[in-house]
Amino acid sequence: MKKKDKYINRKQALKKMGRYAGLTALGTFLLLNPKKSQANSPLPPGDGWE
Amino acid sequence: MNSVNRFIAKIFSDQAIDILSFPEKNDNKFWDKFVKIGSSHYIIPALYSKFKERNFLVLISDELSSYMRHIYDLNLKRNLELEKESSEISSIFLANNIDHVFLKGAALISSIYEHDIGIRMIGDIDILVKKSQILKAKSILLLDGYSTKNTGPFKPFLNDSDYRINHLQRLINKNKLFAVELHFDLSKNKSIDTDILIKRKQKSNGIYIPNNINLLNHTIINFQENDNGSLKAGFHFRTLFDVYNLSKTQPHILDKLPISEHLQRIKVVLNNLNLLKFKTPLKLLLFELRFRLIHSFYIFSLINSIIIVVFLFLSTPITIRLKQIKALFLQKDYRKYALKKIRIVK
Repeated sequence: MKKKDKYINRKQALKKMGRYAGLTALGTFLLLNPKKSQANSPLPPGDGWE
Repeated sequence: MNSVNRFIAKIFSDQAIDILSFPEKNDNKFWDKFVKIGSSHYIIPALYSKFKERNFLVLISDELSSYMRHIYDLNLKRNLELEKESSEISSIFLANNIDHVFLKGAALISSIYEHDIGIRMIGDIDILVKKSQILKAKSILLLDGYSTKNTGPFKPFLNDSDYRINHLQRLINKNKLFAVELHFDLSKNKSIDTDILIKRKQKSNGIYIPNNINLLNHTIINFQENDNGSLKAGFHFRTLFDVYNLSKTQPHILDKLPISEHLQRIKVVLNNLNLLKFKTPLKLLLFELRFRLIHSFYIFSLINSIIIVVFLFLSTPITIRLKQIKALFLQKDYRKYALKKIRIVK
């Protein structure tokens, strides 16, 4: 089994996160997604003003 | 500074929080902002861990608690894998006499966060290799199944020497979870002596990492200089969390770091978030005023961002700009990436 298969898919993840999925920054999703995380350096951190 | 930022700083630095002033479970405006800021600063797992440690989970809604636990669990699984992959690379490098140290996340979870390795979000495995051995180290990883192909959203058109960064192109391996970045330097302005840093390495949980003073210094320089934190007068909670925890490893460790403008500036930031007592020197009063305005009024934040973007654009060498312009016309994948980045296409 490939390593990434051990992780739940996006749909399952979004269901588990509930309403907060929509508020989660893209950077956090990218870091938690094995395939995308390998392909991208983490996004530059925010400047703190949200 | 908004109330959510202050609350987050209090949580991760174990400052006392009066239960009566703890935000209400149903204060959606507050908690939504908390998730937005926490996730953009990569600290949801750290906040979950602190909430759990301080018995604050009962004070937040079940939905938020379960969301934070879910992110923490996913991160923990990733970091367990990272430990394994770091250890494998370490063995290969040691067998081939490659002088190296693991940096940033990999170093931190093997040392100060070893008791709770799910607490720190990590993007990739960063390794500093002695300059004279960097190409040998790369060849060894290529033989081990790593590759520089398809490591990004577009086919690379810049050479390693074009990048004003401190590492070779990312290496990925289809059988591994984490990309690897081999560093030959640690700061844009070469302010860290990498040979001395490697020489003074320590072994922690089976891998070599910088000693705590160098780990702290690199954590600060990496954000303040390499990610332009000093220039932007910005802050990043994940970095502040690391700095805060590293600064507790030995008394007065911050005073043992090389004195630099970046160190002074992060001390101003830490002071403004009540994470450190520091008297702002006269020459940094303007920086402090700018920091406060940017983080209190949106209009100042916007003006600051525009100035920084223009400055960074103009400071990129013309040779790299020309290569980018050529790629914009000739490379469809880069064109798509660039247009997405400036939000012209979705």
